[in-house]
Amino acid sequence: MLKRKADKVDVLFLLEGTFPYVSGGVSAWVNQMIRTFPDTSFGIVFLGGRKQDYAAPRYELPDNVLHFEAHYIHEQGSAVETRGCKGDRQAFASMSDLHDRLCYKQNLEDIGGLIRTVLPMMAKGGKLDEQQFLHSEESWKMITERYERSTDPSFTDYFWTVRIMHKPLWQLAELALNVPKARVYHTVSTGYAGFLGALLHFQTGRPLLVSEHGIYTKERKIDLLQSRWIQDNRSVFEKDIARSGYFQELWVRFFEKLGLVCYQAAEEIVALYEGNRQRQIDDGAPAAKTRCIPNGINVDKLAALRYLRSPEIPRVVGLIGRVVPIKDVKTFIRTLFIASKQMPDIEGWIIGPELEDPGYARECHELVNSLGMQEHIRFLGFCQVEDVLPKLGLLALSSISEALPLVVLEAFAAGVPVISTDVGSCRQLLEGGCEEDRALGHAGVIVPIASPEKMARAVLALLEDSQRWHAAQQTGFARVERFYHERLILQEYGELYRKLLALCPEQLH
Amino acid sequence: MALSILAILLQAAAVMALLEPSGAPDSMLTFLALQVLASLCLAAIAGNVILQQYSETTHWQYLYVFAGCLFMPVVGMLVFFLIWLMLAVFGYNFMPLAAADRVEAPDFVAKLVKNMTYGGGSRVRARLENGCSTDERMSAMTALQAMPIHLTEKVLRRLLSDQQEELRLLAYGLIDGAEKSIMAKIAKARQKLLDGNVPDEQRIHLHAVLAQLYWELSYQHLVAGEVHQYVLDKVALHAQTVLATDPEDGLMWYLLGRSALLKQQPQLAADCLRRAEGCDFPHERLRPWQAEAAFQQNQFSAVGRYLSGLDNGLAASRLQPSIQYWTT
Repeated sequence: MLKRKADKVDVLFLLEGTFPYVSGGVSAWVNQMIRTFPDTSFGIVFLGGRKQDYAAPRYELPDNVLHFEAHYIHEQGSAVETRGCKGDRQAFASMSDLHDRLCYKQNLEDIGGLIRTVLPMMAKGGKLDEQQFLHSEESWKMITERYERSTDPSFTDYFWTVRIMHKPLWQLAELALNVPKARVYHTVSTGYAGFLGALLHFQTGRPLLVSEHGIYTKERKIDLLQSRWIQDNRSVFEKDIARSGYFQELWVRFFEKLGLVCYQAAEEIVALYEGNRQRQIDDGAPAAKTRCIPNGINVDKLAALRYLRSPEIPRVVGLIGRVVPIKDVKTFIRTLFIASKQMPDIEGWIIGPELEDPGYARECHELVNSLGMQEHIRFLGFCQVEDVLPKLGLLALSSISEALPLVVLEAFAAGVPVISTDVGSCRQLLEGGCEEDRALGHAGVIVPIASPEKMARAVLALLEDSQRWHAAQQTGFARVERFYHERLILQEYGELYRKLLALCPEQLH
Repeated sequence: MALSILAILLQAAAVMALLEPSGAPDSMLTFLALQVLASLCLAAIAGNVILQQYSETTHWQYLYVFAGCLFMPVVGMLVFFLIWLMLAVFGYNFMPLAAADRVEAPDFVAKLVKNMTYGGGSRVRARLENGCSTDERMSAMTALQAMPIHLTEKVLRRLLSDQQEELRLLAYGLIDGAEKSIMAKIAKARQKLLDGNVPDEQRIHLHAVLAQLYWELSYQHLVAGEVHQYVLDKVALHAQTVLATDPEDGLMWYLLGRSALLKQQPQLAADCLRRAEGCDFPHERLRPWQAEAAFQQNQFSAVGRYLSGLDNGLAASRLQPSIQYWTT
């Protein structure tokens, strides 16, 4: 199924840790995009960490995917010969210049020129190839000079951190020389995939489209600051506990630079909502290149579900999503516990697969048992939304982080009001974005994250007030119909693709 | 009412006596006599209503009012008359100053921190305030990672609604991580308890462990509202199960006492803490909570008695100002 090979495609997707191996919103979006443009040929370059982390693909490749290849950047790869050499001083000076420009965000306008100079040298046998990086004198000199800026006392850790950090870039440089030709490169994140897209753009001159769902750099930052594997060698006299360790900051800066290069290379940068667009600008994206195109859904198909609803408002609150920490299912469980004190017949349904994080799923089950909520809360596993939405009184989204959750749009279309945490674009979805949107009213209630008390109050307030519930239902449907219809979104992307493909008018098929 | 009017009239008469043409030898004596009578009348009624506002006072109130009226003619009379009017006629009910909920909690003022040369924790907190850059605030979060959760919980909860998503997620991660580790232990202990083959002695031990683990959730402020009440009930349930077999377990009595205090049951708390004391539970750990229970019951003299039994040098630094206040 995945054995597809082509020399040329119209659009080459560069995907990191997502379609077709990982199910979720981003993968579903990619799948939808490919199927919406059947006359456009697609290729996919999948980047993962290690092969063993990915099981069988969760999605079938559509017929217009002509090329597929997968690469794992944290795997050992082929051994590099351990051979000392002097190294090319000028080549390493260019590399140093590139580092400094990214570090101090100077002269970024012609960074493309510098990358175009450096990139061919990174190929095997070039003056800056992996062998040179790992074993040349010039490389050693560069590392030791830059170590003087380090505030961590361990040179050994610094040396090995720099090595491990930069090693995947040679793999990407090699990839950039060998992937199929494409008229447009399309990535859904910055990070390694985005950097690959930048290399491809600088090498071929073909446009790069970046359409981010979450913000990769922000997510890595959070992971890194919470991490325990990064060593901090400062002694008790050197350490300021209010400052993160040098290596943590080094890794954060590394991902920031990857993102910066990607934004500089991009022709167009798309965010799902205004908050994310501002974040992209803060992270170095030129504002003129950015725009918002939200997610969209097939409203007509889901609208039919409204006629399957019972006349009474079901006292059932559903959480539709994977049972993973980011969805904060525990807050949902506690919410139902509190709400059940006042509404003893209330039910909570947790509708989503539990396989991605079995440990967390077990904790959720244990919490239900510990609170004595076995009669009130049901774990239904994966279900089709069409089967469950008509039976829900409310959809609850207790996530601690989201971008523009499709499930909220689906609930609106099916006539289910929503209680959501104030994350991502949820406030915009429930209360309206632009003035025309806000005039429609509230399609639910927004609550702070990790606040089961407030969420429970909101749940009870909506379920007990039929008038308010129906008003929220009407608002939700009007909003999704007007602003989040699939046809509007795909129209925008269709225009974007047309515009970018027109920059490379060569007909490939 | 009649007595108050009489007091006013006597005061007026005293003033009139003073205004007699000078030279009258009796005018000063008359004034003094009338002033004393007026003061006595007002002291009788005003002193009585003032006394009712306190649960534990002495009868010196009467002397204070009498002295106030006598030595501050007219003014003193007016003041105490107005106080009597507010309390007895208009029904105003002023709480004693010792009622903590009438005093606003002190607020953290970030802008003053730059003048401080001590208190690294306050500098961290100041950097978390919204005025600093995101990177500064993120960096300050790393300091919170190193601190015990029961000290940082308030700051972390506030950060849950911060504008910056990174800070929200980091704060959530810290709180969730702390709760997760305790819940894992609770699940393990519950699982063992559900196992039918556990000997009785181990069963009691497991109940004791569960009481302490549920208490830990409360102590670290990881639960709130209804869930907190539920957790306290669980503490009580498991502690009582242990005590049914071993009534000499001072720790269980202590946990019952602490839970009762949080459930606003000071009488029960006092009884449980007394039982813990009887089981030789360390006094240094009991006294502050016994003082708290006494305070909640407005037994203010008992508060001082309990706290005076603590060694000021050994007591926690946060407790020392309270000890100083109540014992001097």
